[in-house]
Amino acid sequence: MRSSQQDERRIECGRWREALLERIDVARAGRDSEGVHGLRVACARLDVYLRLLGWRVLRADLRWLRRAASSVRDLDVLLAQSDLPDAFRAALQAQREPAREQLLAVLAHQRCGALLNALEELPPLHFASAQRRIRKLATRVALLGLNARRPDADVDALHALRRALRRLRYAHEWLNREPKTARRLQDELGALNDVVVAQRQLAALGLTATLHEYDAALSERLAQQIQQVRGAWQEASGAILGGEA
Amino acid sequence: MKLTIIRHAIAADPVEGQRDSARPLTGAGKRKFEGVVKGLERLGISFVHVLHSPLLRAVETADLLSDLVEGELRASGLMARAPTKALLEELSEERMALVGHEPYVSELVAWLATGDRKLARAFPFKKGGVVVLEGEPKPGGMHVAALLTPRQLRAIGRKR
Repeated sequence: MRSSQQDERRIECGRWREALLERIDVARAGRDSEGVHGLRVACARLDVYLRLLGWRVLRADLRWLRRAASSVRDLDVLLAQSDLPDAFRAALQAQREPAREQLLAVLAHQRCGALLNALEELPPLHFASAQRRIRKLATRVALLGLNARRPDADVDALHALRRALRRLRYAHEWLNREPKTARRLQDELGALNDVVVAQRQLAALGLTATLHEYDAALSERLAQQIQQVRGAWQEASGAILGGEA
Repeated sequence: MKLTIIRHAIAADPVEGQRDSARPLTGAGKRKFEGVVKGLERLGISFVHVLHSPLLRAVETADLLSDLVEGELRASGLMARAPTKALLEELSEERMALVGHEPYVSELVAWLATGDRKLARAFPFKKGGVVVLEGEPKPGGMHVAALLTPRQLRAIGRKR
């Protein structure tokens, strides 16, 4: 396609709005935990669509919905692990139903209905302006990546990189581009997040002292995972800083 | 509390087959409302949160306000219908803005300022018009601190 034709292209968000509706139904029915995951992904993709539109409005609503889904999803991911100490597993299982009740309350709230109605009327994205905004997202990834390489970079810096990288990938996908993202880097960042979530849950449940051996194992895994992320960034940074991510 | 109630900016006329909720702001509507935002900024008005109707013209209007918002912009179906107690229960922050439609915004001002929604015609809103209320967000619990037309706010925004 010639670039002038491409610049005039318009992109609609309908498919991901439909996906969000479908996944809300699945999450409500509670038959499949992937429905909650899908709901979270659809929210993140629509957030990127709004960023590409240059809008701030509706993003807090998506964040609110996504947060409720994340509470359930994070517990599901942890509970799927086979090496959890019994006391931790039992405490997580006790949290699962209240988290699901909270998600159902969010889905039934008028704010959720208003968000879905508003998403139905979103204007199309203009390819050229979306492309300009993608460059900003890529710059952010590059800056966060450089920051993450510093020896004193903490877990929060790596999380910020994970989120920025995910936004950049979704942004490319909105423009129907195959993102040459660093798959390994994303996987390593995802694995890092899983360890952090486990450690935070353990602390929130007041089990860090009781399960100190497990906590120490998580800390060790965290340190290893940070090294894995740094290695993956080294591998991927050329493509990312060169604008291919 | 200080409550700022705003009617959406000028929107396109309906076209056949289009849902009313899909009517966008016109180019002129956006430009004029940007002038209104400058006027609000010049007056030192900012918001902790904004509640807006989910209809496209209100969503776009709320987005144009976003530089004045410290917290969140939230979609609310309660802003697309006649005002109810459920809406008043949402009014918890010290400085909030509401973006909605006529006749509901006039009814809301009348209800909060006089206790009687039927007095809505005494508080007419131009598109992009603004009313600032102060007091307790309950029927008859507030008074009108300012009633500003979009033209007045644009003039304030232009002043050096």
